Amino acid sequence: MRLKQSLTAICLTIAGAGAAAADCAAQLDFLEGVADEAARVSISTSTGGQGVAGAREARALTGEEAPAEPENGQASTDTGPADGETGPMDDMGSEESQAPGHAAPAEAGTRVQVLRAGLEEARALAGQDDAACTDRLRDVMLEVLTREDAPA
Amino acid sequence: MASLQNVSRRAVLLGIGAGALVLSLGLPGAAQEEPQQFGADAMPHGWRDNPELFVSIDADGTVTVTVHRSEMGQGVRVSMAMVVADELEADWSRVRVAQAPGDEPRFGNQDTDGSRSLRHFFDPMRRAGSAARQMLREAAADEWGVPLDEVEAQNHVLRHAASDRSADYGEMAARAAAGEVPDRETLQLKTPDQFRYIGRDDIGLIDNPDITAGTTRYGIDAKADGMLYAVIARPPVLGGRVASHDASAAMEIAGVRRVVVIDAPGQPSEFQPLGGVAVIADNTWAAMQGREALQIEWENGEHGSYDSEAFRAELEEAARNGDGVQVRNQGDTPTALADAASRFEAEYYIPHLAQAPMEPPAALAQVRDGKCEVWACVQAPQVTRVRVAEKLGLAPEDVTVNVTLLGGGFGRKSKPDFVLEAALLSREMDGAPVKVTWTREDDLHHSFFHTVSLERLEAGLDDQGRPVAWLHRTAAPTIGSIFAPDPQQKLPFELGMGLTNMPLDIPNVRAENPQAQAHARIGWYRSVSNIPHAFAIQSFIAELAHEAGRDPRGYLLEVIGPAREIDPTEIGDVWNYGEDPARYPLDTGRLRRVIEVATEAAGWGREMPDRRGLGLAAHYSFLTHVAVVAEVEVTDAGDVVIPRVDIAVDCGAHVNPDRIRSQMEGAVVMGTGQALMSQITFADGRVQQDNFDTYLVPRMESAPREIHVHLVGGDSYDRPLGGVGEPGLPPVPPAIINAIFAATGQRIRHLPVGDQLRA
Repeated sequence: MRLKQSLTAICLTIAGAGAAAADCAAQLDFLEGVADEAARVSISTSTGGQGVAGAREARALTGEEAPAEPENGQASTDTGPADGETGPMDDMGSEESQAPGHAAPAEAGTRVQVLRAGLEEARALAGQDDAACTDRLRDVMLEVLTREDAPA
Repeated sequence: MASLQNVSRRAVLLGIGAGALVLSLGLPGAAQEEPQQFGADAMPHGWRDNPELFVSIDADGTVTVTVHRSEMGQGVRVSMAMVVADELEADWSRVRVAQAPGDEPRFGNQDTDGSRSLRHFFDPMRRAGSAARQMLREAAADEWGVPLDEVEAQNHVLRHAASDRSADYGEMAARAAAGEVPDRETLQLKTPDQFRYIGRDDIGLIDNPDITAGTTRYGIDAKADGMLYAVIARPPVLGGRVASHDASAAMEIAGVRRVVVIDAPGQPSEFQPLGGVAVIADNTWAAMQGREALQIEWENGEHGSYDSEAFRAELEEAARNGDGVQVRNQGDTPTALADAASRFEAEYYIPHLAQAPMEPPAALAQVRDGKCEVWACVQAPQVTRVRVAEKLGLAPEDVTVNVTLLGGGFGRKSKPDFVLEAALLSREMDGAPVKVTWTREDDLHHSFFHTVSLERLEAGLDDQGRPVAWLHRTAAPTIGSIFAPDPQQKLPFELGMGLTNMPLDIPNVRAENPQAQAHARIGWYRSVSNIPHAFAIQSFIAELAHEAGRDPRGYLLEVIGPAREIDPTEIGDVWNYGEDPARYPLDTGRLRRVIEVATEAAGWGREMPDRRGLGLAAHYSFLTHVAVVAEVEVTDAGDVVIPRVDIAVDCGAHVNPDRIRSQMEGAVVMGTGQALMSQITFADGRVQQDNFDTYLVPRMESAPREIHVHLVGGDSYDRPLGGVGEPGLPPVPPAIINAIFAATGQRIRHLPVGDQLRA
């Protein structure tokens, strides 16, 4: 499930709960757990590389699939080390030590940041004004889901 | 987990509005379908640890370690080789290094950026060396007919004590090559006390003899038979194009072969060439003379009015009007600000910067017989390979990218636009090899610049002058602007460089990101967004300390708070440099420790002569903690002299201490430039600096007289490695600026200092 789908599902949950929004704090507990998980997903899918992260996040901005990176494929073993500097051990078998590599497209985390910040705002209201807390939850979900310019 | 299909936005909004759509959803579960990957696992093409890829042993015993990361002075070629050779138990005097071509499916990720070559490949390279050692032992055991566990490998020699037999590695190489690569799980890695080279301080750079003798080959040195030379007149304004040109005078220059128009790319242009008019000649001088003779009318496009002074005002307005996207929030900052005993605010401005590697971009390419071969100084050889293939309509497998040494990179050479230029021109010249040379002016005019930033901070203070509320607004064009049409907000990875992961112990924190449009190519520059964030935050804390009448060191430690580990995702970060937050939490204890070490070494608190002062700054970036104390003297004429800098770094285990020191020293010098003199400015859409006479970088007289590097926390290999190449830089400018304040009482908020201290 992509992050935006998750957030959509969260939104629907909130919408449903909103009808009986008696305990905003409980909803916040739940949603903060989701935000924690979403943040980790964002880290996982954005990768640690600056260039890669930037390119992928921009792809998320535009909704385009990878213009830069090829699919994570199997190794090509038909070329040797640079400069033709080969020794006896270069001829050993085929490569089998493959890292899993990256699998998921970018989900850059902007929505998660906005979600997290909004939840914290709601948290400040919880227990004092549950109606305002729930309103803030609704607003932040709307903000997250309707951002046209943000990565997923 | 929940399955949710065909849910339109309208349906969602209706659901919210009505408050009536109730679904039973098993959340959370966003990550359950796909395993989460961090660090090297999450990088394109991941990592490899197969010794067949990285280790070669000749019959004479010469060990060749293939290094797949780009060498730009940071010493990756020696550090990687040290790690492999150590586990291999090789004799260092018999180890040499070969540079891998760009081929990530084969070698694993090759993007040499993000301060992560050792962070991601320390363990794989250890395994590669260990596996090769085991294969040699197995070969010897087989040859001698003895049990494997009785064969020892030490310092290039295989030995069976019971039968008193021994053999050099070279003697067993062929047999070992015929063996199976052992399973990763069966490898017996050394314990740290067994390390032969890892952690040693006296290895030096493996390329040093060649560098000293002037025999190294950088991208700008690449040559091929029949090679032609090209320089390019590029549009002076981002998005500009050639309206018309007259090449007749250029063609009159002796040696000029041809003049070629390169189409301008659409925007955003990513890593594509900027377009322009290329002059191809028999030598570089003729090409340059030909370029001088070109008559070109440029069509500037929408960025032709870009002006740095006016844009600064735009950023200031954006930061002041408070309608930015909220990207971090703890507590109730507005209320806490309103209720604070006092408030303090300040704005900090950091200009565009150019990476300005000593070797400007340069590339040689030859396109023939449906293939392309490139020799170039690139930090991202696989991206180069793919982009060249796309440009020429070839398969990536038909493009060979030979990576030369880089005469500096600093992020500029992650972008292969200059390689694409060479490839296009070679094709245009019917397959003749063409080298494109960028002059210093070309590089400064057409870089992928470090962004320009306005950082606005506001604090609410209690009656002790301690911050209880913290509002940080950052306005800066984003790197995303080279990839996507006109984004106005910084990307999460930019914000995660010191803003959304800022670890200060303040109960109410809010960070906002107002809009900012890019009018120049924005790209990675060593340390990236950590530069403005660290400058602003560390300057601001020093200002707050002064307001409170406190010693800056004690105040900084108090604001950092007690030693604790923080999950960065719980305070608003969603990047964490791509690493698992459970493995790489924010650790304020380590941050405190580097501050304590740097200040103690610098003699913090000692009596200072008139117009001399100490300044302190600390910053966590690229998973490494760094603190800097600068000692600064400001002359009566307003010149800044830096007698001494102490820099303490905790990057985890010290795999190659010599290289860590070197990177910290380089960071101090580069940061001195940022603080005192370096800036790129625009007028009429054009860069105003041409060469090092106007884009100023530290020279001998302005560099710190002494730099003392203090390595902290390297006593355990259990702790994961942090970065080294970039994290030294961010705290340097604020440390110098804070020292200037201590010396003069004058607070510098706009970088560089320039002539602000002159009467």
